[in-house]
Amino acid sequence: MANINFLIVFLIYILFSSCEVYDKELDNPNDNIANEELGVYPPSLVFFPKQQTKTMSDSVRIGAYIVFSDSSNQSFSATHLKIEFDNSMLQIDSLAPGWIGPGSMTDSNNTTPLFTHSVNQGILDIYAYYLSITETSIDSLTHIAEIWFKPLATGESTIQYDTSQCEIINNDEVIIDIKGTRSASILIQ
Amino acid sequence: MKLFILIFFLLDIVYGDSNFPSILIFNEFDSKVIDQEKLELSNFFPTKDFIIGDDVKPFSSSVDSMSNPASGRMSIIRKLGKDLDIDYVLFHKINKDSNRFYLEGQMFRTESGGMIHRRIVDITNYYKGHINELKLWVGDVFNEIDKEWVEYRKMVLFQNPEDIIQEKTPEGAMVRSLMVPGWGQFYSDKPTSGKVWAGIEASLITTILVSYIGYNNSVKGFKSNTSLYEGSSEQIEFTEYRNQVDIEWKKHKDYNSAMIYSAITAGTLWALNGVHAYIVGPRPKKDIIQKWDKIFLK
Repeated sequence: MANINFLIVFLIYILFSSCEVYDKELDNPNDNIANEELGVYPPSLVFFPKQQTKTMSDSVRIGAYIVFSDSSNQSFSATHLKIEFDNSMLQIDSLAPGWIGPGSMTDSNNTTPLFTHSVNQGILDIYAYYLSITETSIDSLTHIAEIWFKPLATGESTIQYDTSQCEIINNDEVIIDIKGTRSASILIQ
Repeated sequence: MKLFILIFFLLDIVYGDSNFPSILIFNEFDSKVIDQEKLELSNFFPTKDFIIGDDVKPFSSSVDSMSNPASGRMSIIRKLGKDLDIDYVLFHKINKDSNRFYLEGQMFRTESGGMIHRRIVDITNYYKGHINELKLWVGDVFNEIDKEWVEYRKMVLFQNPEDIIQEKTPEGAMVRSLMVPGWGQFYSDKPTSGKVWAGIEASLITTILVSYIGYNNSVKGFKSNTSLYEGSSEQIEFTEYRNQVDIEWKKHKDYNSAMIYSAITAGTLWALNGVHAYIVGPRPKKDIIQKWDKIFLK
C-alpha cells in the first residue's frame, strides 16, 4: 500500500512540476535571425559575446562582427569601426584581425587583410581592408577583429559602436548603410 | 343430420382419446426417484396420466444453442406425442454451476411440438425441491396450483434479509478500485473487467512515465543546446545548435501534451473505474437462498 501511495504522490508531483512549457528565447548577436527578432536588421555591427562576467585577474575577450543578411551575396572591401569603452574600467591589451572574407583569418588565397587600429581615451578605431580582387563577396557573418581588454576596476561596463563614425564599404567604394548595432556588457567582479 | 352427429360422438367415445391429459416425464438426473415422483404426482393429480420416459438422448443438446429454442425440438416432440399418444412432455435436468445446483425444466406441447414453458430453479438447499417443482410445473400448466407448494418454495428464501451481513459491499469495491484500478472488480469476482481496468490504467501510467522521461530529456537537450547556441560565434555551429534547440523544444512540448492528456485520461478512467466497481460491486441477490435447517431435515 505504501508503494501505491508513493506512486500516486509521484504521479501528482510529475503533473504539477513537469507541465512547464519553456519559452524559446534564443539570443546570439552573431545570429541574424535572433537579431531580427530584436529589431536589429542587417547589415549590423555586433559584439560577441553579448555579456560576460570576469574577475580582475581575467582577460576580457570580445569579438567585433558585421552581420549581413543570410541570403546576401554582398561585396565588401573595407570597414572602419569606432568602438567606445570605459577606459576607467578597461584597458586595451591586444587586438587580432578577424575572419574577413571567405575562409578563416584570411581569404582562400591566405591573404592577410590590411588591418590597423588606434586607441585614444576610451575610443578604439579599427580599419580593415579586404585586399582580394578575385573574391569580392563575403559570408553573412564577418569577423572583423578580436579584442582583449585588461580590467582596471570592478563594476559594469558597456562596449558599443559609434554608428555615426562606423563605415562599411563595398567593392565599388560605395558606403553600405549600417542598419543596426548591438553593444556588449562586461561585469568585472 | 342429427343421426350423423350422434354417430360421431359415439365413435369419439369408443375410439377417441382418454379425457385425461397425459404427460411424459423425462428426468436426466437420478432414476431412483422416478417411481416416487410418479406416485406423488398421481396422488396430487388423479385426473392426469403420467408416463415416465427413459431415453433422454433427444434432449441432451442445449436448447440455448438452437436458433429458436422454442421450436428446436418440434419434430421429436410431435413424434413422441403421436407414438405414445401423450399431450405434454416435461424434461427435467440438474445443472451444476460452481457450488450451486439448478433444476431446469422444459415443458412441451405435443400438438404443436413447441416449448411452452421453461424454468430454472436453484435447488441447492431446496429439500425435495424437484418433487415440489414437478408439482408446480404440472399445476402451472393445468392451472391447479396448491398454495402450499408455492409457500414451500418460498421457504428456501432467507426469511430475514435485514439480518444479512454483507462481507463484501459495492462501497468496498469502489474504495478498492479508487486505490488500485481493477482491485474492486477482482474483489467483486469480476476478474476480466478487473484485468481490463488494471491494464488500461497501467498502459496510461506507463505512457505518462515514458512521456515524463522524454520530456525531461528534451528539456535537458533544449537547455544544453540553448547554452551551446548562445556560446557559439561560428555561424555553422550556432545554426546547427539553433536547429537542435527547435527540435528539442518541439519534442518537450509534444511530450508535455502527451503527459497532460494521458494524465487527464488516466484520472478520468480511474474515477470511472471506481464508479464501475460500485455498479458491479457485490450485492445480495433478489431471492437469497438460506441454508436448510438441519432440524427440518430430521
